[in-house]
This record gives sequence, C-alpha cells and structure tokens, in this order.
Amino acid sequence: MIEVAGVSFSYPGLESPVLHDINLEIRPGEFLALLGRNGSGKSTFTRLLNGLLVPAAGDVIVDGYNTRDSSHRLRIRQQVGLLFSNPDNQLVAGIVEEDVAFGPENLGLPAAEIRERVRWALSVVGMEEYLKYPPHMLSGGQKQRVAIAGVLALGPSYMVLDEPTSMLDPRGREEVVRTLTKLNLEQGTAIIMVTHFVEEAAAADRVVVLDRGRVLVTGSPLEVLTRIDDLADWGLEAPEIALLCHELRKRGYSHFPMALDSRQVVDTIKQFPFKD
Amino acid sequence: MSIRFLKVGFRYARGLPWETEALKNINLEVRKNEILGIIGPTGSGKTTLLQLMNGIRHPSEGKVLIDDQDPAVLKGREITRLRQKVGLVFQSPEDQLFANSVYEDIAFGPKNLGVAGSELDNRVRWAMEVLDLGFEDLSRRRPQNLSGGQKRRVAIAGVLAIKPEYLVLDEPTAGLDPEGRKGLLKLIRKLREDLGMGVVMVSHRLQDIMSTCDRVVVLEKGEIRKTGTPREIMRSGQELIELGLHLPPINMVLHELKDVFPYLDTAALGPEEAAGEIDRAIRGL
Repeated sequence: MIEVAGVSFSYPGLESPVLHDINLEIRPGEFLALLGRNGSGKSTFTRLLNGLLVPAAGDVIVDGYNTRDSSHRLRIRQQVGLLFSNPDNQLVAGIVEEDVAFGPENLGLPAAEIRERVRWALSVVGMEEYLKYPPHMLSGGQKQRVAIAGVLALGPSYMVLDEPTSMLDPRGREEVVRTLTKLNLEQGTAIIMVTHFVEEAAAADRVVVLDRGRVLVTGSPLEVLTRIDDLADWGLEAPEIALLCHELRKRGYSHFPMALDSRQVVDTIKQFPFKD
Repeated sequence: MSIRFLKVGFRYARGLPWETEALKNINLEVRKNEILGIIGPTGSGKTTLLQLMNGIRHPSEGKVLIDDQDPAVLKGREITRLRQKVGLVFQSPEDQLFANSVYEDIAFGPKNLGVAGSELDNRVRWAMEVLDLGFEDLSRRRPQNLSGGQKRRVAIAGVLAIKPEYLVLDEPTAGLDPEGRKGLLKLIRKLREDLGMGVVMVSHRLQDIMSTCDRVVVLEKGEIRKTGTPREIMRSGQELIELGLHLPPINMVLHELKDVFPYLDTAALGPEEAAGEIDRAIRGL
C-alpha cells in the first residue's frame, strides 16, 4: 500500500503551495485514475509517490518505507515505477531489447535474468516481436508500450503514469490503455494514471479528482464521471456517453440509467419501453 | 482568392528504392472565410498536404496555387512574400518557443521580415489580443513558465503576427486539457468570423473537427475519399470506421442502433442532437 498522509508541497519561489493536505491510500493491485485541470497538482502528486519529490509536510509511505528516508530510496524507486507522456524522451538505447534491459542492468542482475525479464516485460506489453527493432521505427503507441516494458522490467508493484497517452493518436491511446488494463488484471500491478481523457478514466477501479492542490472527490468512475454539472466546475469534460444519458433523461426518460459505456446504452435503448 | 490544389501528387525519396507516393491526384480549394478540416488515419498524408500549402514542399505532379501564384516557380523576395500569406503551425509548436519573453518570441517572425518600431509593437499587441493573451500579464513572462494552453497560443500568435491570410494548423488541440482545447477551438472560429481568414486544421479528434469546421476532407492512402459538411461526413459513419477512424462515442451508439431503427440519422453533432434523434426513433416518428 502507498499511504499519502497529510501531504503538502510547494515549489521554491512560488508563493502558494501546489498540494494541500492530501490524504489518500493506494491499495496494491488497484487501478486508479487521477483527473484534474492543468495546474491542479496532478503531476507533482505523481512525483511524490516514488520519492522524486519529498513532501514539505506529511508523509508518503510505500509498503512501510517513508520516502523521506534516503536509505530506502532505491527500494522505493524499484517498487514504484514512473512513466511520462512523451515516449521519445524516455527511450535511451538503439534497439528495443537494450532499452528495456537498461533498468535491470543498472540493478546489477545476472545476464540470464536480465534476458528473461526483458522477454517477459515485452511479452506483457505485446511487443516481443520487436526485440531487435530500433525504437524510432515504431509508432507512438508502440514506443510508449516499450517504455512501459522498460519500467516493468524493474518489477514494480505500482506503476505511476503521467498522461501516458496525451502525445498519441487514437489507436495508440487504445493500445496503451488496453496494455495497462491487462497489466493490472494479469500481473496485479497497481496502476496510477493521470489523464485528461475522461473516457480513459472509465477503465479504472477508482477515480480521484484534484483541484487547486486538494482532493475534491474519490469514487467509482460511474459515481464521479456522471456528475455532469460538477465536472464542468472542476475543469473536466463529462464523457459523451454520460451526456447522452443526461440528455435522454431531460427528454422524459427520467429513469434512463447513467452509463459510461456505449455498449450499455445501446442495450438499454434496444430494451425499451422505459418511458414513464 | 484561395489556395488551389490542381491534380497534385507528392512522392518522398523520388527515384530511390523506397520511393513512397504520399499524395495522389489531389484537387482541393482552401477558401478565405472558411474553416476546412482534414481527417484521415495515421499515414494518410495529412501533414504532407499541409506542408504543400505554403510552398515548404513542392508537388511532384500538378500545381499548388496560392491566390493564383505558383510558389514552385517564384524566387527570392517574391516567394517570401507569397509564403507570408499562409501561416503554418506545426504539431506541438510550443516546442519551438525559444525567446526569453513572450513579447520577443511573438516579435521574432515579423522582425525577420523587416517590420520594426511601432508597427512591430502593434502587431505583437494585436496577435496577443486575438489569441486572448493579456498583454500586461504575459508579455514579459518567460514562455517556459506558462501553462500548456498558453504556450500553444503564444506559438500561434507568433505565426499570426506575420499577418497571414490563411492559417494552417496541424493537430492544434493535441495534448491540451479540456479547457485549453475548448478555448483554442473558440479562438480558431474567431479567426474566421472576425478576421475572415481561411483556416485549415488537421485533427484526430473528430469531435473537434465536427464542432469547428465548415467543410471536411477525408484522406486515405494519399487520396481524397470524401468532401462534405461535418454532417454529411458523419452520415457516412460506416465508411469512416472502415478507414480506421474513431467515431465520437455518441455516433458509435447511433450507428449500433441502426439495426433496430433503420431510419435513424447517425449524423448527430453532439449529445443533445443525438438524444433528440433517439427520442424520435423510439416514438416511431
């Protein structure tokens, strides 16, 4: 578990704190989506989770180890992997295999185990066929999956991703979200994902909304992402499917169930009459 | 006055074994006072098409004419003057901000064209005003310290300060948060409404194209497959899906309801229209 207890943070030279008194527990194996407008403190929050930043007040405790204690830092970084939005800034080697091996090599693991980890990580993200490819020959979505494999090869229990899809086209986005869902379900890796795309947050178990450095609300995607009026106040966009349900309710289908999934709406409509 | 593509083809690596035909037989007119949207799957030639619009690249076949002049045959000062008419904003243009202040960055383009003194100052102020960047607050700030949406608008202001008559934008909203995206789309509409510019935009987000553009071109494998109003384009949802494009989720719903409501119009633009259409279908109207 990652315990975030009473955490505040401010950057030097900026008058107002970026995060105020954040309390949150991230459970092993959960898929958490972090939403909030620009400047809400999301990125800062991700960097506190693996000790890249240390809180000004409060504590971040990763599986019992406090990120303040520098003697645990290596262990924490291995447990909590961090990934950013632009894959081009994160790939370091000339071929995919070497890139994914970069992390485990730095851990000083034996060659056979490194090879095994690389193969395993690439197969989890569905890129095993590209072992010998130079990364620049890959699409954006493929590059981001290689970057995910690079983090995965360190064997983290938690994977923190800061807008991993914002630089990708719709196909790349779908690939990455599918990969993360699979990683979460099959490997039990906890996923903490920052995103601007509310549709992607629908794939999570739990959604946290940040605004002006505070946690405004946490809940299931269905609870949070169907609060049409609140979402606008939080600087977020309601998912189109939720808006469609909302509009149908306004037109007299007042019991139309709110949904986030287009399949579900189609099925409901096909089973009418539900007009009252 | 317009940018006209006459039977335009474009090949990369001409004469080499890996020669690729990026565009084929493109006939297209970009008009003033119009927002033209370009959609198509990755690799369909969208960015190449944009680069042909101001003579950065010249066609391998056919002609591109900017207000009846051919940039491929012009030289020196004349081509500079012609290129000035068509402002090109690349993907993630904020990566190219370099100056120490917003003011200097926006002034860079017109300055290079010989604009100076009060005219230069007027242009910077004007471009900042059009893009909703408060002069007092922002002109002396470092571009690196602004928000993503502000940086993007500073980059566009730098192109606008050259006073182009056409503005060509490659994925203008990619990577912005919802507020930044909505704000920028509103400003793009303003460029047409208040300044009468011709605007061309490429986007993977069909919602943005449909809510903003007057006319839409669908590209696939370097060829134009379809041209029409947003509504006409959305009506051919099946074709768009087959091309590998991602329909907005509500149009996906309408599309999948087609087998129970064969007369349903799938072209709704936005949830409100879609709900109206579904209501009509259920009531058998």
